[in-house]
Amino acid sequence: MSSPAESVVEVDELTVDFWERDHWVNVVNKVSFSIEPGETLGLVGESGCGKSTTAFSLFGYRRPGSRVRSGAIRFDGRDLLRLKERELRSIRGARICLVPQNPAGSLTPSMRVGTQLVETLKAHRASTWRKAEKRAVELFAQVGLPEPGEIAERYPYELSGGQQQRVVMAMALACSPSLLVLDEPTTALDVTTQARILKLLFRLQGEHGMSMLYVTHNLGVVAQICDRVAVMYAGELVEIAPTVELFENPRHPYTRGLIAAVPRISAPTGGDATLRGLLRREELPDGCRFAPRCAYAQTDCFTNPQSLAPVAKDHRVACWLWKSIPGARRVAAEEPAQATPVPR
Amino acid sequence: MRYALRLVVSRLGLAVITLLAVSLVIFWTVELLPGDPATRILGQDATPERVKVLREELNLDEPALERYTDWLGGMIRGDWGDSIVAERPVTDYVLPRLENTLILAAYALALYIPLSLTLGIVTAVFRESRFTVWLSAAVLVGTAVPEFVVGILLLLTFAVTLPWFPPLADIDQAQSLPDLLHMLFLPAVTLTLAMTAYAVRMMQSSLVSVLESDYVRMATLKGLSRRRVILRHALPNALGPALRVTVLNIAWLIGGVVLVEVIFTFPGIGQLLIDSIRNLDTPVIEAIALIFAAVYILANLGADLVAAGLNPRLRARAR
Repeated sequence: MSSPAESVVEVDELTVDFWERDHWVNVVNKVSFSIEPGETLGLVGESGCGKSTTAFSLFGYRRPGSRVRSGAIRFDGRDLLRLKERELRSIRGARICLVPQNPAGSLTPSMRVGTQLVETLKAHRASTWRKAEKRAVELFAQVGLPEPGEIAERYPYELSGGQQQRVVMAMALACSPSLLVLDEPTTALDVTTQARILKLLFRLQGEHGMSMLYVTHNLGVVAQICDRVAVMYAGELVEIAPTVELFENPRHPYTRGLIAAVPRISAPTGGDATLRGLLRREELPDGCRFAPRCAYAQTDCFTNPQSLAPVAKDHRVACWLWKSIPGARRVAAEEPAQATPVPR
Repeated sequence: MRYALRLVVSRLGLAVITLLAVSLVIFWTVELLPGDPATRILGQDATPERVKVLREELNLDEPALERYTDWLGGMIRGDWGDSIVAERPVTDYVLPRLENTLILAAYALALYIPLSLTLGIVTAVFRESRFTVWLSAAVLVGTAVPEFVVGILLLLTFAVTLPWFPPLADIDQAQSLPDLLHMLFLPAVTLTLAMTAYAVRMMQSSLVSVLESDYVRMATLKGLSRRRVILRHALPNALGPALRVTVLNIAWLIGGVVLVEVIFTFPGIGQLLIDSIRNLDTPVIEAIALIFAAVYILANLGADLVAAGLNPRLRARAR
């Protein structure tokens, strides 16, 4: 691992709870990772595992009805979780930017898309409205929108899904951020558009030299674009490793399950166990949260909390049994499928 | 433009058809009132001769359908017949009262719009604060308390116990605009409170759902000021339902004003309606009922058109 001083952002023991009817439910538990300059880190896990909540925390943002119980997010020498609204505003949209999961729903329906980009520029760069409008058209051209001047005049519903995605990408890139947070940016798109958007993303990352956090449940995409991968389960980080290492030598039983599940769809751990567990946090054991679904679980697993421990260089796993579990190589033999070939 | 025109024309046509249907209902309801109208007006002791004369005056011997078309034609031409009691044209009698009511309604609306908008935004934006919980509870109580209770309480408190406002809202006595506003304050506030409670709840719930939308989060994460996020991104998309409630409130205002006018002895159309029903003055009752219906239908027409104007899809097609 590189020294923390060099990292673009450093998440330290982030713990987030949601308020559910009458009590706090833990959603993210002591998650720590860092992102290096120019690096793309993948954050993967099932729906509801807390990966999006973690990603939004990078903006110092908390959803209404949630609280950050503890932890720190260091960016530019400051803790984003303790910044004032005004200071956060100067970072959001300028230094750290979002490419959202659902571009159609992320564009304000009552406002022309050009205006939505111009206001971002105006918020961060002191300039005239006219200059910002000119810059907006340039940015639309940069993300490959045809007739950018005409597109700027349109309302979101007048654009296709791929065009909407390019519009939100132009917004994210408007101020040349040092960190781009991508929240499953291609889920809403068809495979061809997805491939085109990913290709555009590589190009822009090359041009802007920014770091990226790529949140997804699509391991195929992860294999294509990420330098490192962090795997989350039930609010905890269970494994983090360089992409090749993770796919070839997954150590956590959950990671193995995920990778093995890609080509065959059905989960190796079987049956309802794959669907259960996440929604009912009350049922999680005090120890390893994966234990109830783990084929290798022992009595101690249910009582001893696990934390990330090094396995190899840059490879850490939160499972004390990682050495004794057989068959890692067998799983690794299966290539992640669904990968749309994308020229780099 | 053609699209917008078509929308207006089709809605206008629908409004006319609705109004025709309502006029039929009004006419036949009055027709169905028990007993012979002439006997009803003259009382049980009337001589048969006098009843006969009145029946001829009212054209009661003609078939009902013919009387309906005569009546409707008159309404459209502006000849609303004569009041049986006052023996004056209904128009002379009703229109000044309608004007008074419209002044009161406009006053109430002028208080209502900023109040409900502000309360709706405050309760939605600060929905996690304890103060808002109390405010929402107060609004809920306000929804549950009928306007005549509010009116009587206001009257007792601010006109009787603390003589700040006159107990009688006699609009004809007003000398100047400030005088008028002072005189009508209590009835206007009563109406405003009755309308605000519901509108605030609608405004709050639609704004809360918009505030939790992806685009508001996106606007926040673009680094925009909270003010801009709320006013430019959230509010325009949350106004639809609140606007609909406002229009229904306007429609309610014209009819719902009846009780408030009685409490404050206000010479408006509601008070006139009560008097006319008491006196069985059928031409006046019919005219007022038709006015209420027309206002209600026009208000809804307005709501549709404004909603269409707010929707960029329709606006774009009209461009």
